[in-house]
Amino acid sequence: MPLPKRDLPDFDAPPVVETLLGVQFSSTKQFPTRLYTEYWQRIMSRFPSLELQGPLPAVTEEFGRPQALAFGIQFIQGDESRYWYIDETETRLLQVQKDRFIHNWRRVKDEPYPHYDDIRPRFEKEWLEFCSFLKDEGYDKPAVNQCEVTYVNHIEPGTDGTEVGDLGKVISCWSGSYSGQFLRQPETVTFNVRYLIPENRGRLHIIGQPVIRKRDAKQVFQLNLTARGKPNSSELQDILEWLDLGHRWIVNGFTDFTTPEMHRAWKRKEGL
Amino acid sequence: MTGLSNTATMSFRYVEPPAGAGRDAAQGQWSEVIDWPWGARQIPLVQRLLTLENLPKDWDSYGSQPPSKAAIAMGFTLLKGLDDGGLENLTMPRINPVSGGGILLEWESGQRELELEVLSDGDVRYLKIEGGEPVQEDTVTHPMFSQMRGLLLWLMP
Repeated sequence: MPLPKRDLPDFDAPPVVETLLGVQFSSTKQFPTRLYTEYWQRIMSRFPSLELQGPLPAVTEEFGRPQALAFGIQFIQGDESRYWYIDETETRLLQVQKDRFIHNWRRVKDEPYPHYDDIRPRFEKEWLEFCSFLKDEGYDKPAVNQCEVTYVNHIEPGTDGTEVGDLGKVISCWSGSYSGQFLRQPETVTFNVRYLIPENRGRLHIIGQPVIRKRDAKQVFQLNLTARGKPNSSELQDILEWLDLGHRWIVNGFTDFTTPEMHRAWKRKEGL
Repeated sequence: MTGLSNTATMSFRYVEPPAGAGRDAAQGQWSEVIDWPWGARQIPLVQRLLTLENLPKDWDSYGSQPPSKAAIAMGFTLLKGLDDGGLENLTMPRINPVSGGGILLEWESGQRELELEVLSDGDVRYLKIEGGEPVQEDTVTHPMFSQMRGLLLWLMP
């Protein structure tokens, strides 16, 4: 499937520090530990490091009915771990667990942000190889029930011309003004906003919170945009179609949600 | 590859009710951050702990390891606890690495001083000093913050 036309807002120096493209799926068979280690053998030349993490819980965007509660005791067979396969540069990661496949890119130093045009083909290649591996191992094709695109942005106070509590300069819908004179600038701000993607195709979540970045101990404001929803089918073209939709919502959402002043600081390109 | 079994495992676990999809929105994030919704006074110390965690091996030229994850985690527990009721007026500690993978937190309040040495396994060795003289020392294994709080309250007038 061809990449979408480059008609979205674009920045020369965006605050993106991480991108994530992933799918959630169900499988008719358990994933034993052997499966993860053999998959590693297959990709080891590109992802030579392995780490184990706790599993991510399943998350599904629901519409028109309350989220079902998974509450109780479950008996579990198979390996519940989340396997991290990390590349040599420590900028790319594959995360695999019994119902997830995620491709991450992250900024470690000052690497240029790879555009979606670069990230999507990498995800596509790795997902196809994973499906091919599962097929070789006698597994059915994974039934994909959610696609996800996440962009993690770190807005650094000072360097981006802002203070952590000074959100009016960053967030376009945050006026920063009050009805009276009692309250002053907040010490911290956290928020969680979600938007419906029309025709119940999914949601865009925007989460903002002050954090301290571990790699350099810097205080930053983290702005995460996550688009998630169900593709029309588990076919590759439908997965890519949904990822393109999610990416479009993230880029347009980020641009709408942030101020023109910050767009200038992030060097928004003319005409886009 | 050691430590990875080729046999399927069977276990049971308590399944938590799911948090809202929004709260879980950035589930697979790789970049490590510390959520820090507390007071601004601890932030320099959080940054100090992160700096210590990233110390190289042999940082003291005597072959010492950097502070262990258990020691750093206990350091965070202690810092978080300083916002507890009754401790808001306590001064912030000095934090330094110690050989063997631990960290040392030191407080001074008038004639009283308290040293908490967090060992590499997370246990805490403490020393109370009054008027320049040691008055009590002991080791707390598997420490709870409530025990540490008792020591910190000793510093308060």
